[in-house]
Amino acid sequence: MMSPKDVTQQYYSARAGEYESTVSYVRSKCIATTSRLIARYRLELEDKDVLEIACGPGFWSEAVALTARSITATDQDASLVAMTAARLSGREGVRCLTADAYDLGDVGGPFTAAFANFWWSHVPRARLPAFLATLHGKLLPGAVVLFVDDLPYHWRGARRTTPEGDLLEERALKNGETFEIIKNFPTEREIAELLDSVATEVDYRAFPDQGYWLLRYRTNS
Amino acid sequence: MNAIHKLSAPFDLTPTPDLEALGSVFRSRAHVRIFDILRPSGALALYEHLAQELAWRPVIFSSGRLLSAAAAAAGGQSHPLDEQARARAYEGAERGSAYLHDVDRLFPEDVPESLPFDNGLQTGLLAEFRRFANSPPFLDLAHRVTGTAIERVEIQATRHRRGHFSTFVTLPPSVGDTSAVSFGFDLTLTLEWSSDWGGVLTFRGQDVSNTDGYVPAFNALDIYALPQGHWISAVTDFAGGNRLAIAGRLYTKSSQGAAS
Repeated sequence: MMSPKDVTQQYYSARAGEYESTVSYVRSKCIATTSRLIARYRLELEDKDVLEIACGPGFWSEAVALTARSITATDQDASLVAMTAARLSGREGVRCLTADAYDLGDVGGPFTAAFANFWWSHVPRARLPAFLATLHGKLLPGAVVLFVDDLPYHWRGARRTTPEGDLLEERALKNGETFEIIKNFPTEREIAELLDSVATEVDYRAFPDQGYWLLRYRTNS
Repeated sequence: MNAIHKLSAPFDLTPTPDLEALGSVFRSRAHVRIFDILRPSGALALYEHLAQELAWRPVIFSSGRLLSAAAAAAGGQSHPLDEQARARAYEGAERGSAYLHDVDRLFPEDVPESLPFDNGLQTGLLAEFRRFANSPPFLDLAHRVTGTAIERVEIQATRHRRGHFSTFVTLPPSVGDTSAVSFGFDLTLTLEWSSDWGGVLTFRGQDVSNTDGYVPAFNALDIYALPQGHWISAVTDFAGGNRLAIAGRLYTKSSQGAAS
């Protein structure tokens, strides 16, 4: 039986073909939020060598590439990486790599910044410390790290919580195939506790009216 | 100078907004929002200029008079609001029209004869944006959205901090016999913002019991017809940032009016 983490990865691989047409942040009603986030990322990551985790089809990679010195966009799914590569074709300083976010052994570095959008919620709670350690291991001291993810939202489908404390949410693709994926909603306190000894300048902001939280910090010097 | 400025080629509009659709919205509501109006490099450069570099000056309008326009050093969110100024502005708002916010300069027609005020000239990036706003691409966009030929544009950088506001105003400023301010605009350059922090450019709805409004956004141009009742709601004391914008006035020949 597959673990929830593996089912989650399988879901996003299966969703690759329809991702751009179903993801919320490209919808017109989200344009104000998306424009603000893109601007914030472009400013924070300007002139940085950026590592992106879970790049998906490259929406955020493309946005960040405008101001970053370089960007290494990674995803565990090769088809999504290929979509990102096609999207950023011809741009200087761009690398697109298939990589396991929990390993990152072959992504190079060190980097001066990293980000992962709508990824934190899919990481099993028990694996967050190891994931952050792996990520920070690829970054220089004082590197800027950005995360954005969903605040709790109403879900009409099925949900349950595992004994490990992960929330599982049933998602369906257009073809009717269903997956039970990890979708956690960490609190500010939980995030602060995780970063307590490994980060500085931690700035968490929640925007309930737009349904997301934004996290910025620097790795310890 | 921040590195973003290296990207800032002369300002330019993003390609192909659907001006016909925007014009249709404008004709129906007398105001419209256009998202992602400027190319990113120009918008980011303007944001950085307003957020980090500009020397802001507080202005207070209360009881029919501009009360203060003292020079003030650029301040961030922690800059203490002058409580006396705030009290005067709120007193004026209780009785009628008032505003309290920071600007780089006043619109020329707003400079009171009775108050010595070094209005200065816009230089650097704001001067460059003013030239752009008076260039064919922007004037043509404004014409196609409003349906009215625009003669010229004036701009003013504005910053609304906690407690800042502009009360309901309907009439455009008087600028003489040959031209008129027929439209206004607000190019908001605000990053993280929550709808409940205030700072909303608000218009009367179809009757006095409802409203339409635009929450501050980034790189969004809100164009509205004058005369039309509008205000900027007070920025709350728990707002997590400043409302940054370029306010503009669109001047037409006085025989031409607003489309609404």
